[in-house]
Amino acid sequence: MVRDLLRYRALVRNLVLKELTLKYRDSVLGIAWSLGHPALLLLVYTVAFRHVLRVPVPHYPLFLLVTLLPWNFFAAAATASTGAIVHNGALLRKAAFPREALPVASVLFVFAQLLLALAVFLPALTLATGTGLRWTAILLVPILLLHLVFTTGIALLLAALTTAWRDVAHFTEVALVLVFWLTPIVYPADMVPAPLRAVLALSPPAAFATAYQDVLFWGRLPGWPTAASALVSTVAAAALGRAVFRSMSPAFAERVSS
Amino acid sequence: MIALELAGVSKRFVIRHNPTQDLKVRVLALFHPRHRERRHDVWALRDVDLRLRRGESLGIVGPNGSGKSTLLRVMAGILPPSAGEVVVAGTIAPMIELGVGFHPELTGRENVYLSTSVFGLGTRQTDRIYDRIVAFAELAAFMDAPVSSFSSGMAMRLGFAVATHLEADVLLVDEVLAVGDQAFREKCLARMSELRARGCSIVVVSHDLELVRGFCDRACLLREGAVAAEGMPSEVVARYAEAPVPEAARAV
Repeated sequence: MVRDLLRYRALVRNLVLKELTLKYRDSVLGIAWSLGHPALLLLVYTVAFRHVLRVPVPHYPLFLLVTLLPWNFFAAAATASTGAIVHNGALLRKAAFPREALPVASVLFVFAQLLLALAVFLPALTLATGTGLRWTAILLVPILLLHLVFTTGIALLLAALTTAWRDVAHFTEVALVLVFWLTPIVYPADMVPAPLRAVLALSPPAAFATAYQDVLFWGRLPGWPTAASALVSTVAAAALGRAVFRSMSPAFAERVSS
Repeated sequence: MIALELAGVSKRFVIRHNPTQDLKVRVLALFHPRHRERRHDVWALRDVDLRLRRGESLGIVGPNGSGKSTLLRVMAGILPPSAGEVVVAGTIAPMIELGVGFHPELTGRENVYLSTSVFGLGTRQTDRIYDRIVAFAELAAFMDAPVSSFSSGMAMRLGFAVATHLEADVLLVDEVLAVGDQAFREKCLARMSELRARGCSIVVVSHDLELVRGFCDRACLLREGAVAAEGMPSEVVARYAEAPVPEAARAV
């Protein structure tokens, strides 16, 4: 699978560029929208959770930023992947390229937006809040890579399953909302009552959220349960996504309409 | 040297007559057989053996629904065969439609790079053939304009230029010449002859019997998914012209 994608890397690259070009062509602000969107979310969530619900976290906008941006990446990738195969029937029925190029390109497109948003907002908010980043921030690189692999595994799984059951797209939409509120993004994990906290610790999105918070906001190393959960879920998601996608992909051209 | 070989290739499609199988229908099906999913198999290809030598052109004729397009898709690796084997020596360029992967809002240039990469070319490989594609399509002045602003003739020329400059070992052509005017058609045929002379093998699916007779080295008649005749184009076309519609199809 990886070898096929490397051979077709020009295709993956062109698919990402196509989405980028099409998304912002003819809009006045263009690519600035990929910054404007998270900026508005940060603003509204800060008002709602810091100033109305009074979540007791200092420098709340920064706290929110380091988990909200990665969550948005995951959610947008999962949503896009459910359509990556079923909405590309015309292409799938006319050429025999490696099918994984489609969901992988969808994931990389939103990942590029995450990197851009992090590159702008992270320095801006650390300066504005006067917190600064500690040395643990370099762990952002391996965490981002793990998160990318985890998300790609989930995307492959969802893209393949949607060809057999279109329900998967609807289910994903609902599940993302549920998981968002059950993940320590707008609130810190230690606000969660103890019995529930043990259950939530098993959730992969919670592990990633905690890892981002640890290295970027609290300036500490992630604990071993967080690290283990993120690692195990990444390996599991990648293996499962790859296996399901490979077994279903030969039939994609028959299952989708053009 | 064999460029493409099909050995005992069959393709089955499952036709579902009442494909809406939501929860309500499934519950009803427990009580009423009428709601149960009815499906039956259609064999679009039956035990097809074909060999294509390097630099050879093969015409495939047959009535609608005889499996011609399915055959091309199986050759191209787009559909997996249900039985049998497809062996391709080298690369294959399917021209099932002109301009595969083209998006109307992207420019001519962007579409060329996208379309070639769909067929497995890298950016540098496309750089090498880009000028030749543009020259063949006669669109040098328009490559930075979106394809939506092209006339249909311009878009067809660009699509054909891309597919025939991929330097593939096997080119599959599905009825695409039928859509252009006389000048386009002659230009395409000249280009296909040129490719064939250089060792490219070509499979042409067409209802245009003149084209098959005039261009192809060999022809094959498909009926209900099976090879009904194979040999000299003039003989195969004559067989087809005798009874273009098989008895079974006429009864339906």
